Amino acid sequence: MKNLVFLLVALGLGGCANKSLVRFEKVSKAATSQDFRRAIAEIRKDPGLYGSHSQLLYHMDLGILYHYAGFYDSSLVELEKAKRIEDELFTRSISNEAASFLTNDNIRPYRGKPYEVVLMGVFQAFNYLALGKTDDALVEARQLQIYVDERKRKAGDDAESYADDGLYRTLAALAYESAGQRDDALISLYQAVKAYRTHGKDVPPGLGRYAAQAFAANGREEDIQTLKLDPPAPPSEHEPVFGNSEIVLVGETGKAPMLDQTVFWGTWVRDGMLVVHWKGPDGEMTEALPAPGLPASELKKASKGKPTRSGTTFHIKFAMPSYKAVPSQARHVVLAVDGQGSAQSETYADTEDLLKRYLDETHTRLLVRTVIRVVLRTIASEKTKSTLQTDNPLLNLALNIGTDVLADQLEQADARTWFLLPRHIELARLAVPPGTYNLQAAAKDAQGRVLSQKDFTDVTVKPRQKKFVFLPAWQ
Amino acid sequence: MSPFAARPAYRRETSALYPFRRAAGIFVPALAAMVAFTGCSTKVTRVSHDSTIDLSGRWNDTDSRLTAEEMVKDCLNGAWYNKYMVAQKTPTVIVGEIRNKSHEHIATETFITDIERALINSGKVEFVANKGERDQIRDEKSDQAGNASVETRQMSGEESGAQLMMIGSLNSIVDKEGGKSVVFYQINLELVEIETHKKVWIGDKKIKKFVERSSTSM
Repeated sequence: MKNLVFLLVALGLGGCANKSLVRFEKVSKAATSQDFRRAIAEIRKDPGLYGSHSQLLYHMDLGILYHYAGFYDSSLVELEKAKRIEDELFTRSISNEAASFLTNDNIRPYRGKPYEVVLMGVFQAFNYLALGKTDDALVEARQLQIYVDERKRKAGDDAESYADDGLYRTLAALAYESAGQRDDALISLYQAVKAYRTHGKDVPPGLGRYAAQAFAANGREEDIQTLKLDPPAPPSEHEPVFGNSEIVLVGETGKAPMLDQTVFWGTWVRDGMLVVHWKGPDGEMTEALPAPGLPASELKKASKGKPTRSGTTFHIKFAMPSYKAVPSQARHVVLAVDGQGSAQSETYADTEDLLKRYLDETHTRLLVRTVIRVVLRTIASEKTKSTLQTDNPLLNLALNIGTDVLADQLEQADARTWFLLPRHIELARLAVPPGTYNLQAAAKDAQGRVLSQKDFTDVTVKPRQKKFVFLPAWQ
Repeated sequence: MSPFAARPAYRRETSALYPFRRAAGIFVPALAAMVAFTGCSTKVTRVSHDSTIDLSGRWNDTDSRLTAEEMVKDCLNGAWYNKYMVAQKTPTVIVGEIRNKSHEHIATETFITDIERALINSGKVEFVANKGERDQIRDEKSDQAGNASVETRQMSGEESGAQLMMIGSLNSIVDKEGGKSVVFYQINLELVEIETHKKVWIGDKKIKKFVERSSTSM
């Protein structure tokens, strides 16, 4: 009976269903229609959607929604809270970690995936740049430098590990350049190209040309060779040049993917049947097969009129997080400046790629945790069943199934993720002389159809400044 | 039976669940203790404004105040000061931009205020309002020009111009491994003659902190 009580308590601790889908349902409608204020109101109205273990996610979600809505000050506050929580979570609670082995990973505080932590810093830097605070954006860049240095140290020779980020390095390069710190800007440009190369990604063509031109103009030709960049060519009209002013449109297009769970369970009703069930993002399948009969030892007991294990069950369930794509329409952004031409964006970050890489990187570790958890829980439920066993096979079956259902509810994959991120982060860069301009920004789908537009009036660009403007298109 | 006697063999648990039960025996009281501790209410203790309290290892009010006091003292003991005093001119100073080039969001306004306070309290220099403050005062003067009585009205065009400007930067280097980090701050300040652009004093202050954090807690 004590074991049954334990199972019920554990169920109370960790039996909550995956709330990611509920959260998505709550905010996606408003966010898709670009009504970010309503999405913020939905979250603020119901903080229970997150719970105490997902406070990091709560502030990350609010932070990015405020950013999309153009309330950069509020976004700074929320993302700063998120960063503090992430920092404090460096210390792991032993009791909490132990409890997660008895229940599931959802009772561990959400720490954020490494690429989410980097993007949190990137969005903070975006907020500061939107407010014209370049020095503060550079503080974010330096903090990210410390973070990626630590990731690199931990990764060691593991080339597959996420230990640097091309978008963050590009952003740092532009911010350093804007602040007049040329050497820091050139080093960041080098690291940006290297980060894309290290992760087997194509260097955005505009970034490659810009870096080659910058290295050549600053006596760093060996960097061009080391990074295998094309030799610098004269920049085309309106193409940005190192050291000169430009307007950068940041397009936050599409919807980041989510996590779902892949579930396998199997029940062996002794002397009855074998049921196996599999459910993943691509569908589900259930098979029922006749189970082998009782072994000879049990048949011997039956012949003597003693109770047998007929009708008892052996049940096992695994749940692992799995990738779930979210359909998106918005793909690119276009920047047009009155009297100065226009620029099409290039992709600097793809959250689909980042999440898939994270799942590959953590698969073995997650599998080991899941196996340990499932083994511990299966032992507990088998013990519970044996203590509840009666002489009545039918009652045994009912009690066994009841215990299995209780234990079943505990097995939930940790499907938490920052799904309010955009699918792509795009940069459209246009060189302009210092002055004041009116801009038109448009988000387009893959076929070039305009999905949303935004005008910016009287945007002042100072000498050597990289002026940032933002167009969210979470659609 | 004596409590020290060995448990009879028949009572020894041999099931696979035994280690699990033992773990639960430790885990449940620990969880209860944790809940009891986290249930404590917030406690606030008032402390002296100049006491030194380091919690996170980040730049804090003590760093700001001590750095400002030490650097201003060093500045006012510089050779440049005697030159001004020989010429029987009390130098007029303004604090310009102090850039944050560190890895932390540091409220440079607080640091600038600490420098201004240390300079004024020294009594050795005269001090003028900064650009933002001057704009406010000018607004007030133009308001007075239209509304205040002639006897109380403050005149425009009588401002004291600063001869020297203090500028500088806050820099940091972080070396981190796991829960241990060494944070090194270097604060550079310069005093520049506004008329000639000559640097009359350069000073720096270095602060090194070792921060250690536990990777686990109960």
